[in-house]
Amino acid sequence: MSRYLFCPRERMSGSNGNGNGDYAQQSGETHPLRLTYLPLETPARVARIDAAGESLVLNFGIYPGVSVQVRQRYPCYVIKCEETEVALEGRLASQIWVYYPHA
Amino acid sequence: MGLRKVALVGHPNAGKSAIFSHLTARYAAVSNYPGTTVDIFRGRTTVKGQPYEILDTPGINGLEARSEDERVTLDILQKDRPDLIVQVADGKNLRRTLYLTARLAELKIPLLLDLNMKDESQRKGISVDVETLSRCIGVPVVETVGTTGQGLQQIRDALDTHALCMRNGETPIQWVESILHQVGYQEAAQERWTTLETTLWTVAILVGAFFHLENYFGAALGWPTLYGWIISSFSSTSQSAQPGLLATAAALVGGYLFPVLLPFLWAVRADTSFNEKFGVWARKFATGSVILVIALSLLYQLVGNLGAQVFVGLLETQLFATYFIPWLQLLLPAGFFYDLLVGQYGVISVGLTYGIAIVLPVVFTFFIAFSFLEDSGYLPRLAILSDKLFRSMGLNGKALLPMVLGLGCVTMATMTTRILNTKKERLIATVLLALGVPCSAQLGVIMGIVAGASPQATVVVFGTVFTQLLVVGYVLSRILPGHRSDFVLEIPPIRCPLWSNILKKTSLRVRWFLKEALPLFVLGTLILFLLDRIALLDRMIELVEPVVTGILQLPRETATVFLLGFLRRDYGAAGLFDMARSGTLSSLQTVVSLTVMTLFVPCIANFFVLIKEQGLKISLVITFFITAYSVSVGALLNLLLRFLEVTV
Ligand SMILES: Nc1nc2c(ncn2[C@@H]2O[C@H](COP(=O)(O)OP(=O)(O)O)[C@@H](O)[C@H]2O)c(=O)[nH]1
Ligand SMILES: [Mg+2]
Repeated sequence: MSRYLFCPRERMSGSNGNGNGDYAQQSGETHPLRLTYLPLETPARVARIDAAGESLVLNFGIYPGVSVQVRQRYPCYVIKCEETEVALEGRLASQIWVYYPHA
Repeated sequence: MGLRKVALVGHPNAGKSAIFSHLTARYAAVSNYPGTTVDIFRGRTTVKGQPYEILDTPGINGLEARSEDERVTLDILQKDRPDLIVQVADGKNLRRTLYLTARLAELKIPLLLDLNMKDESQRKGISVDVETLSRCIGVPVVETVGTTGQGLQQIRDALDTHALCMRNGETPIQWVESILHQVGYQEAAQERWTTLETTLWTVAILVGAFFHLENYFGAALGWPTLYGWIISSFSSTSQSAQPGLLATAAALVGGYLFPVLLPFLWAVRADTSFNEKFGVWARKFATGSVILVIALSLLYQLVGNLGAQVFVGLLETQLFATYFIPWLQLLLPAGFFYDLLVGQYGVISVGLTYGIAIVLPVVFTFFIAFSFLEDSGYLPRLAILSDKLFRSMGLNGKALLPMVLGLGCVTMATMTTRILNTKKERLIATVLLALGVPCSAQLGVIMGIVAGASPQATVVVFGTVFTQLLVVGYVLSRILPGHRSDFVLEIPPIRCPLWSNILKKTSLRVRWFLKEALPLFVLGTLILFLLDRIALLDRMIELVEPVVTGILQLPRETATVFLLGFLRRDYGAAGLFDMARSGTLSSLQTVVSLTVMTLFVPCIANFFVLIKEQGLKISLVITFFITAYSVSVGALLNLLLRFLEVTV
């Protein structure tokens, strides 16, 4: 089963092109929440990234539509996206908004 | 045929330096953390009669430089414009890779995409349809293993590429997503196990297991269709076996247990190797602290005991002091050459003895341990643990990398401060490096001295130096203009270090020590010898004597050692080692002089790199500040220890 079952291509085209597309309406999912509120080890899809963190996380392949999970909160956040683990401080992690299907 | 310039470009830690070393005969330092390469490294190779210049570059994440080392690469790409870019990528992260490919395509330079780490991708079950991918992006794609050199021939064959990467007016993100869609990219681990899938598999596994039990017991009862469907899609036994109540119950239990089992399943389905687990432990606070303590004590045992006690004992006490030097002294007639070679400031009796018999065994053991640390991938995890500490000094966890590298050699580490993002951070890190981070030889010698002294001595010396780093860092973070950048650091997987690479790095570093440091040891001794001959040494010592004997209450000879310390800190430390072993220094004096020496001025080599990275004015200010500061701290420590009547 591919991820497109849960994140169909059509949704991708809803993004506005600059990597900040917010497609909550089409997806019918719950409201996005900050990554810092996501339970540990739970994959969730990125909804949008606030301006301050955008350029930073974009370079790690974290942008709207992709799946991330939080692997650790303390001493600082460690998030995983694809096979990349990135350590980042909470202030940045909270700039990332995700859709959490079971919220 | 003209020389074609080929730049190896890619994310940090993707394996560029490993590929570089295979492509050219030259070895570029390969380590398992981002920021190993901070400068362009050039090598040559020839394929089918065509000469190529290969450039190894610091890793980049995009086309916007956030730190000095990224700027180095971007300058090469944008101003020098190589003939070909080989994007070396971690094949496990296709999305991220293609995002950088999309950005590189903007440069309109022919491109070749190398998906490296094929071995790790395969282990994780990630496979990429290379041909389709190549067709989609319009440039050749090859797969390699940087550690073994597998697939390297493909890169050689493709070096004459002239293809430009294609992008049809989409944003990088749209482009990447459309390509991933076309190649049917199955995302690894986390995405493969979506919630529904995990549910189905859990149920299927449980049902499958119970089915066998049911067959065994021969029970045959009716079953609901939903579970029948699940079973028939997942269990091969379903065709032959009779559906049963037990199966239903199992399915229900499976569904019910699912929320409980889910985290467990994730843990199981994710990588279960020891390396992976160790990687997790190392970055958590509680387990990480334990691992840190163990690692430090191992290091202490290796360098402080094996290196500085056992090996130095063999070389210095046995070989040099018992046989070699006395033998030479017997051989040489008294006179100028006797004094020059084996006298009080003799090139052999002091310079070579310090360099080869005291410092070399220490740096050798240290370099082995250090290369091991570098290659394991532990250092970035240590950066996570120490992030909070560095924040109080106006830095962030990333600064741990240059600091720890400073233990290898402060001079190299000063260059590594390039990976820090702001000017302020670079300045603070540079000052701290020059002030209190001892270089490997010095650290080893210090460990050797305190290992021979008492545990309290160890605590006092390292405690004082550490506190001073904190204090100075804190004050600097308050008074310097500018700001701290956010902590973002990629954490590479824990990898088993390859012995070949460790030996290679160790031997390179030892050779570097013999080439760079040993001549300075000899030169330093020569200068001392000459100064002594023309009776200038006494004058100079008299000049600093009030400070040394008066303020610090150390024996007069220590002044000479401090002078040596400016040439190379480890030279000075070796002098202290000598004095401590011969009983010239009391234990309290040992502690005070060690502390001053550690905090003392940077060595000449470091001073030059300081000028290169920060400019002459700042370098002079730093040097004067540190000299004054180290003496004050030493004086205070001396007073405090005497006043409190602490025995060390
Ligand atoms: N398993 C595996 N490890 C690799 C491969 N290529 C490089 N490495 C390791 O990855 C780490 C980073 O390599 P390095 O060449 O320093 O990366 P650079 O930062 O891009 O120059 C080192 O620990 C290498 O041993 C590979 O193909 N497979
Ligand atoms: Mg490198």
